Amino acid sequence: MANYNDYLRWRELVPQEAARRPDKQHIRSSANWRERKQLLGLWGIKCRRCGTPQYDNGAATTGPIRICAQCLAQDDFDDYNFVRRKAKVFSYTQDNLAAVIDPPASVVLIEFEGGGRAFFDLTDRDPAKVEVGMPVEMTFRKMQYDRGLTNYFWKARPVR
Amino acid sequence: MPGSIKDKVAIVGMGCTKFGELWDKGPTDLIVDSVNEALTDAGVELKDIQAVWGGTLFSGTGGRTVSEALRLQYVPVTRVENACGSGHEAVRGASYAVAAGIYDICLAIGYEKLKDEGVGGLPGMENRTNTHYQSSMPGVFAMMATRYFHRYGLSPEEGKKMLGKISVKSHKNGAMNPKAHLRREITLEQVLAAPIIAWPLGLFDCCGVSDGGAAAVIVRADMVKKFPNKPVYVKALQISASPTTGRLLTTYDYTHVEEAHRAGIAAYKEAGITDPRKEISMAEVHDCFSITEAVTMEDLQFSPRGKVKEDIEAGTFELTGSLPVQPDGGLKCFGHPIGASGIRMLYEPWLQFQGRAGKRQLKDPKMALAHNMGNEPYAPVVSVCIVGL
Repeated sequence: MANYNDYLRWRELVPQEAARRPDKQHIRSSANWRERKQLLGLWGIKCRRCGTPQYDNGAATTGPIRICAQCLAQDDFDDYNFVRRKAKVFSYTQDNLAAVIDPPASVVLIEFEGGGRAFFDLTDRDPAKVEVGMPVEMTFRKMQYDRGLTNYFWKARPVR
Repeated sequence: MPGSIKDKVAIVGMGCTKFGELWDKGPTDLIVDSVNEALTDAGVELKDIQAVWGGTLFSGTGGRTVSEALRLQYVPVTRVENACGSGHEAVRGASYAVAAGIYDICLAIGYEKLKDEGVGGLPGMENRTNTHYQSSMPGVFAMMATRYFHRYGLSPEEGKKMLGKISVKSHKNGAMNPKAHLRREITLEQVLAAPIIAWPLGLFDCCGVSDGGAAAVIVRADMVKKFPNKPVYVKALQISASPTTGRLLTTYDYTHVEEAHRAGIAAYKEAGITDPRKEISMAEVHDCFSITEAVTMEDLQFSPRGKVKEDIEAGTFELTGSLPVQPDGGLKCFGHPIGASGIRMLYEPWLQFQGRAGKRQLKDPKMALAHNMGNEPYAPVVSVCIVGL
């Protein structure tokens, strides 16, 4: 950590002016329960028909994958875990509009070795050093606190 | 074998408010003002309208928002929403109802009151369970630029220059448009020196977030002689919704929008166009960001894949070029009141065909394309509408 001001900000020990951005949605505990395996365990699927690994954290409609993105097979999958898989940055942005405590929001689209791709926040990074092809690994982080509930999810970070 | 809309319906009048930060106007004003202009233009009265389709993403729900504003007397009003493509969706609804022979004369309207939200960018549209990653809309389009630069070997400086020229062109056109939100010419140096919104996109790579409304009166093609203006026929209305597999599968290149490509092919087929670059006189595309316009030129087959830079540098898409794009300034400068944009994209062709585009007037335009896109590059709904004489 570069300085004490960062510490105070990250721990929310000093009040910050709110970003002029839309409010985050409330945490939905029933959906959290329903998706516990995918959210907490970073479990995706591997299609039994075509063998394509898939992880989905960006659907407009939430819930598990029911239809294979590659071959359209329905409900014919094995569980497939992404936690310890190596991955590389396929594309990235340094987003100054997104309201985050440690701007810019470094957001990456990563590809896992063996298949599968997904968007994640990139953490523990130097924004100037992020590039296409950079190796990353997954790390479990606190995401959001809302009305007495805390959400945890996975972020990517540069391999160290 | 699906049917075709070609030459079955025509636009006979259009209206569009000034777009911008309209602090003194509410959704009702945007609806009433755009509809008044469209009705006057077509020489009809509100009581002649048999059914209405209204497109908006954030400004009210149900058909009531429109019927209330206009005090419509118990006629059917359908509110449609297809994200930023809601405007075209309203035109589709009205056009198909007229083509089906159910109605003779319908109204399509799009409107959006964004500036009451008090936020930068768009209001919240996230309906996922939880926050999984924190990119804004500029962020997800920025990642397309990152990938485009990487794929075609452009340094950040070269890439940003290519994109910057797109915005310089749109500002030049927008400056000539009295209804546009952003009406100043800019230089490439200004674009490159502007603050970064989401790397590599800077301030001038992003469109205006605006309030506005636009409306079109749509009638059966055999009725056009009853109306004073030159009728503008609908030649194609095609839409493609994404399976959104591009964010799951490593096969998607993130340097094109598949749905735009497919909607374009389908629309050219419906309109009977075989060489779009030659046959299209002008295009209004969904330039929410400069990179979106760049890849759209390739998706719609105006430029070969990876070669849009050459056309940008040759001035192909300038007002004086062989295929003017965004003659009215586009989303970039006319502004982007979500639901209104798809209809605003038809307002410029309408004016151009009538010979009323003022300083922006093109010589003898015959066929115009409007490309309206909702959601992210890997998960959009894209509509391509072609209109002509």
